[in-house]
Amino acid sequence: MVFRGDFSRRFASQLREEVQEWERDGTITTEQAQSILSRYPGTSADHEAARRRQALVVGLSILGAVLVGLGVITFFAANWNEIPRGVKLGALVVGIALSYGSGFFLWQRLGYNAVGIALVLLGCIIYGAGVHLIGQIYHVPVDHPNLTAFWFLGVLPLAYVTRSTPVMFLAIVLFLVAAGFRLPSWFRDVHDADTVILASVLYLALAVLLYAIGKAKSLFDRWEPAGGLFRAIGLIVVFGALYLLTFHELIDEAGRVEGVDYRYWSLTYAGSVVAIAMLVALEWWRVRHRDSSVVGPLEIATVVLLLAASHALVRIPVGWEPLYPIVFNVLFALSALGLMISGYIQGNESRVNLALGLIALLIISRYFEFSTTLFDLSLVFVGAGVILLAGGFLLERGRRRLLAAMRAGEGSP
Amino acid sequence: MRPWARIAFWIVVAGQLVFLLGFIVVKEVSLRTGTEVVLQTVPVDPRSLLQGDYAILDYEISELPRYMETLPAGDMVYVVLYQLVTQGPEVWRAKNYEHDRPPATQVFIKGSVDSRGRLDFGIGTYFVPEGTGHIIEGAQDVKVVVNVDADGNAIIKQVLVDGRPFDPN
Repeated sequence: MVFRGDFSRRFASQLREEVQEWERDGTITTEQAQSILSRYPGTSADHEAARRRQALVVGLSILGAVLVGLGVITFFAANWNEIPRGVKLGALVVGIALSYGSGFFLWQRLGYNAVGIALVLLGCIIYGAGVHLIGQIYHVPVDHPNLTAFWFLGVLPLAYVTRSTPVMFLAIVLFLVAAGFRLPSWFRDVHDADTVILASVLYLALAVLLYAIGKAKSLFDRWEPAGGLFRAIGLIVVFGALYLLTFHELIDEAGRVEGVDYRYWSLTYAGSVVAIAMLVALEWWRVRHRDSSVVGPLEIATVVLLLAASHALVRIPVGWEPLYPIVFNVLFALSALGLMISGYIQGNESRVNLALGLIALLIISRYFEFSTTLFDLSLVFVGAGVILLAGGFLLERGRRRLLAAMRAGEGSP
Repeated sequence: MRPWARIAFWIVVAGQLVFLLGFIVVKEVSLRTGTEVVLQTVPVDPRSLLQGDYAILDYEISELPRYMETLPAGDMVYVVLYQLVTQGPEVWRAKNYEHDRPPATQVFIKGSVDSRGRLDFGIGTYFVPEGTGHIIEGAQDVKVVVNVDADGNAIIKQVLVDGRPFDPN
């Protein structure tokens, strides 16, 4: 029997590695290994080699599209007055049409998926260049909140129509940048430190929302790479925003947050509430379908704690200054630890590695914030290194125990 | 790709092009209609990665009167203008600042309160060819010719550097 359902590339790769390991350990025979792998099409060495070649083609094509796009943007940014406006605009319109047209033809007619999608991505970048060129001609500033929003609104539908991960990546990044450009118009006489804190709090809420959307996509949308992309960007932005809030110097400089427009609070609160509601609903759905694990409730608890602490930071002043920096350092460490545990339970190595890197980053950052001597530095580096080594040891031990349990299971009736 | 998705693909592409053309039309209409006013400004010149070199233009009329200093960011303010005849171009100055839209018989410009507590009219940036920003920055006197439509929306028509139109060459 051959497994006909959908399974991810990561699963295929992990299965092949595990089966090879079991074969080396003597847990299974060569015939059994071949038998297991034959049930899953796509796990053979030939398939893996083909996938790697395809990944190289995708990488090269995307890089090419991004470089050409950057070239187009900087060409128009040079603002040569020798080229009339009409010629510039005409070149952009032709460029957009050519990129989309050739991309569509290569992708849909000739089957060159990677290069075709890369050209569609290039079309999206040139469209953004067009929005900003018209802004330049009429002296609309680059940080005008509407320009990136217009770019995002043009790219998002294409991401869904083409179901292209690079185009969706561009759309998500544009969404986050557009939110950032919107911020200054919502603040009045807000101190720099407060601006960073308020931005971190908003991005924390938006990132959790992206993460929740990613989880929902993975459950209900067959376009799984998009779900993974939403979750990955969500996690990176969550930890980025949280990392800024761990600096005591930043929070010490903050004052009473006043002069903030209601639209900032509306977006931040709405983002937080919707994100938590989505995560709770997804967990409820998983429980109903007997698909729950300890990760879900822990994840919800962590998210609620993070968002509650971030809202408290900008709303509730406390008498003891070190309180908030300590809270956010503890939350950062706990979140990284939770990421490591969830990655371990779900067999996601990249999550575990990311978590270990984040913990090391936190330790090194605190050193540079509090210490000045080389002796302290050596202690911090040794401490961070020991944590990474201990993490590796625990992971390796867990894997060995799993193998031992499997062997014991084979021996029992 | 399914047939509906192919159609949707070309609809989105067409939508992008229509949007770009619409953007141009809206700006051209603002530029070709309305009242031309000259405003006094003090520029500095940074650079934008996406759009190249530009000068930031800070207008005299951007400063809010004392009774409006506490307005929150994002609040809309209408500045009624009057013409001050001096030597050279006729500079327009603020007559009064209002929350409500003034009658159409008056020339006014619409701005929103920014993060520094000044008014932003959407004409705070003037893009110049690469490497020519110093011409504006080093000038003694910089005035901006602006077109204001009946709703108070403004668009830059020209920059006057020491009384002459800006020439990057």
